[in-house]
Amino acid sequence: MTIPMYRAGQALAALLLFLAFCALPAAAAPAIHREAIPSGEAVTITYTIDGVEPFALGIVETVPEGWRFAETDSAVSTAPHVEVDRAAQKIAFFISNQGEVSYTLMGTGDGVEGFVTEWVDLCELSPNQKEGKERWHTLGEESSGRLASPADPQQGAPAQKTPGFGISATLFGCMMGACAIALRHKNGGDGA
Amino acid sequence: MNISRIGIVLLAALAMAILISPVTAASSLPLGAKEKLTGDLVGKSVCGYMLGTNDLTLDEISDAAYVYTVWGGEPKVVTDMVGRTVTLYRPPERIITDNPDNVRMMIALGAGHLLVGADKSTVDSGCICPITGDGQPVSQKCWDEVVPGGLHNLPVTGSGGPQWIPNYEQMVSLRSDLLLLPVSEEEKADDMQERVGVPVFVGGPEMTYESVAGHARAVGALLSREQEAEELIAFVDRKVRAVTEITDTIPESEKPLVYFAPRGASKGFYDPAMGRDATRTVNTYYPLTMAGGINVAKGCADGNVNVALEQLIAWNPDVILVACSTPDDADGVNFILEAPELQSIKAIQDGRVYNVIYPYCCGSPHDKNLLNVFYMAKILYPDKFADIDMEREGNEIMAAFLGVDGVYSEYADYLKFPRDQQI
Repeated sequence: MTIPMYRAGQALAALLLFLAFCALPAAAAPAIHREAIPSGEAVTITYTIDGVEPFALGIVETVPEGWRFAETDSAVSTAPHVEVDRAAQKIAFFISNQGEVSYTLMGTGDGVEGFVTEWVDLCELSPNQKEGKERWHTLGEESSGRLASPADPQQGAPAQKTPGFGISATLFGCMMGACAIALRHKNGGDGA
Repeated sequence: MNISRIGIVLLAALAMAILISPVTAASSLPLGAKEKLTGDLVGKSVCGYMLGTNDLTLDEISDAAYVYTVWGGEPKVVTDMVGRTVTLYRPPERIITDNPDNVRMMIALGAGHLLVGADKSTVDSGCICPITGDGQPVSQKCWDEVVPGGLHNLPVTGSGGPQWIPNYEQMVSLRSDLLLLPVSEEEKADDMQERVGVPVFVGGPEMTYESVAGHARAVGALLSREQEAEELIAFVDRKVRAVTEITDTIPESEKPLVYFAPRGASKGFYDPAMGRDATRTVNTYYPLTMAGGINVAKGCADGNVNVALEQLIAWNPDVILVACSTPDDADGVNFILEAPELQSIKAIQDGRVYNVIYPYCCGSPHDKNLLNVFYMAKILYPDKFADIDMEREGNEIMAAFLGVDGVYSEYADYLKFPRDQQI
């Protein structure tokens, strides 16, 4: 059987479109890249965010001993949303649709050794109302350098199984307790 | 105050807490903002949270960051598919739907993980994932993976169709933040919103091709998943074009006259209880039109049409298509082929009576209707569509809506007619 050329072209176009569709990320989960560039007695650390807008991240970096922040925040970073905790040797950023933020530290070294960078995707939705640090990631410890897809069965699965049950159970227990107190009194339970 | 009064006061306070808390959560912007969240407020809150210098929760600062980044800091206002205004103050993360069509669309747009409850038709019937007549999953993988934790384990929040009885207590107890209601239940929306205390969005498809895109865009806008909606629409358009590019070139005079029995024929000619009879049809069914058939009932005024046998004989269709949802339903084809009253009809004389996919399930399942575009095209024009691989197309379509591979293959194995029927 011979296939007309126009059919072959259509099939190829359809295949390419399908492959392009399949290649799209399951969700616009951002990935973070960190680069440290030493210069004399300072280092400039830059985070580059690879993500499809809209995205929002929180980043906190813990700086090891031997490094210090400049005395004014504006000398540390010009990022729009940044806060420095000098006592704890930490710096935090809120990133909203920005591709890059950076900050400068005083000290010597490669700007990598001993630094701990943690981040969280703030646009990831989860039915879990009592989240702790489950969604926090430590840079360099992620297997893929990318958040799991929101469609990942691991994400939010516990809340799906028993949504709101903890709260309901607690409140239900309290209500039952209150009922018991009231009924006990009505039935002469307090010694009458 | 004696102990009994303390108990009663405590009871009342706790009951109020249960009833009021979802309303409070759903009707205010995060971080106590009044009209708009500013970058300064969100930035300080997020940085403080990351540094551990404030007591905000991840849920609160995520909501704030989402509203600021995705919605521009303001409440999101959308219009549902019946023209009601729906205002969201926080991103919906605990969603309940009262019908399978909205569940399927949420899954297709990548938001299935936000479902915390659904109607019985979704959870216990085969409207999303196929199920056997005695309640066994046809595709275990579909039931397990289509939503996190498994579809069977979603709490049931209503009867679903055809009664559509909502369980308000269950909805409140699940602390949902958004309810999706089918268009057929529009009149319940405001009352439901008041009783449950969260926004209610009314939406769903009709039996038109345009409603696939309309439904996707409406739910996409609601969930801020516009891009996913456009990708789904592009996928569907691309799929059906493979058929319509050919059928659009066929002159109307050469297209076959088709009678479609969308409710099957397993109940014979008349089924007053459920209307699942061979003499019930529709005046428009887009898969049939796209597949190149001329619906003999297209001139009828109403959507659903009850047809007298004399009318069916007078129409004298070239082909009769009978919807089938279980292997037992497939006998409906034999019922029609053997019916003494219909022997004068051309379709019966030529033996052109076929099973097709059942197009309803408490709504209008887009995936199954799209399967029919391909399957009907292969029936009506076997030579022109001989190269269409139903297995591949079916699995791609169902995966696009359900996110699970291989569902069509298992569904076809169960139904049998896609395997056995000579077309």
